[in-house]
Amino acid sequence: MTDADPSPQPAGSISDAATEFFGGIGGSDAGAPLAPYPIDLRLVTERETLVLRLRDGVMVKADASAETDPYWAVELRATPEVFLDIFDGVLSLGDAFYAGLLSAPEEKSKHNLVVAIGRAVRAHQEARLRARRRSTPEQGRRER
Amino acid sequence: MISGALPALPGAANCVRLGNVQPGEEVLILAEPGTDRVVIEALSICARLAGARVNVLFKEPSPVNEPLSPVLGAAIRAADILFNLSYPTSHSHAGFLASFDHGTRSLTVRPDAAVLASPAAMFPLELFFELGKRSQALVRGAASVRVSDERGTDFRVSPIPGSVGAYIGALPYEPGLAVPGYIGTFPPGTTVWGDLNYSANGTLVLDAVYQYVAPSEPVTWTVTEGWVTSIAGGPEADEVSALVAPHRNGNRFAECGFGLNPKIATPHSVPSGTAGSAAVLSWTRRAGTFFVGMGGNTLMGGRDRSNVLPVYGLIRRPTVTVGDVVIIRDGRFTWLDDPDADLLAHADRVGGAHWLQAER
Repeated sequence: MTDADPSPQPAGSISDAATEFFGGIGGSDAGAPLAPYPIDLRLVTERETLVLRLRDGVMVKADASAETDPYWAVELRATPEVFLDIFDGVLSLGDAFYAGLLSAPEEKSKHNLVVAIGRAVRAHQEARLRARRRSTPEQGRRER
Repeated sequence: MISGALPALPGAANCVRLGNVQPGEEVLILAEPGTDRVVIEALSICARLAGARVNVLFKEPSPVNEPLSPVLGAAIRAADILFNLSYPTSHSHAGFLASFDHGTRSLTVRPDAAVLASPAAMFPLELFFELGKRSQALVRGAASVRVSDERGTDFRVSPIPGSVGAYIGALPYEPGLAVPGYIGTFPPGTTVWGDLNYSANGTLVLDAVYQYVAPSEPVTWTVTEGWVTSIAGGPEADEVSALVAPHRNGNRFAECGFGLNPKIATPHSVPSGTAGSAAVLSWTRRAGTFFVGMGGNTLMGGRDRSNVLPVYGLIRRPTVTVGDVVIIRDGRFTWLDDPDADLLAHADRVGGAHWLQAER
């Protein structure tokens, strides 16, 4: 996946959902926890690897083949279904880590970066839920 | 009340500094009935002096594998920092949410006024961070770590570099003052790593385990490709076996590492129950010891979840060789016994070389 690549994503890909989710983080307070760190987030499933480049709390580029800075790179590994549940707000990173559904091989060395991502994901999930409630009050009430 | 807390105040101030408490923050002190009031008071005073608002919550003691109450979970999530005087909460579901999703900083504090008044609690944080930074880098760069002792321990593990921590501060790979999501203990601390690649193999003859600082006979774990496949010894070994056996992944070799604080004293009393667990956990922070943990490893970055919170064990006088560097020889941390000029300079900046000398 690149900025200039219009080709449709393969079946089972999380790239569109990941780009849409993380692309929205910069437009809300959710980007604040990420702002101190120039994180290169690598999302790895059995089928694909995505690189999401986050700068000042904003996703600036999404490129599967991008070079990552090992010092600031954070890799998260899960099935596509788990990642999609995170983007849909069904699971938080804390939920997924606790259940063993998500792993981060460098978590212990980069706990600060992993937590920054987790806090941003939670805040963005909550912002999206609030937005859905505002736009569809009936659905919002059911979700509560 | 303050006069009773006076001896504990320097240690409490060091604890509050490690927690990086800031003006306007919400501090949660979690205690149990019977917790030493002096510890609560000393931490409260220091946190208030840092400009934070202090909340104290008493919980009933509960089995270590029982989920936290929703009230307690909500309180932990809402706090900026938790000073936990009870059993560590960080391995629970509520603890994961607090750390990873809400950024609550968490320090499990030894609930003992005498410890808070001891040199262990006043150990200079900058020296701890320097020892942690050096030793973490050493382990990350080593192909394997070997542990042996005169009682029959012979153990090897090959850490994945990224699985080595902890106490990571503002920068990756480097211990520092607490940042959001921080998980640590006080007095500090350790260098620790998970066995994410199932490389742990060998025999561990433990001098202390679970709640027992002095089991009636050594407890021997046999580790095979990342799993504790045998637990042998006296009644304490039987108790640990019974604790983990019913639970999926209960016998996973979850973590190991070594203490960095030369001022942690070897326990002289023989507490039991929660106090025994706290004593064993604290002892693992002593420089010169090697510790192991069995149970779920998801907090270490792994995917083997278990209802079993880590059961810790400790080797008192190990020899630990990281790559080709003997970092601990017969229970003596070699960097502290024979410090280089850089470490001596660090010690000089925080009060002198006496901070490098081990407490008995």
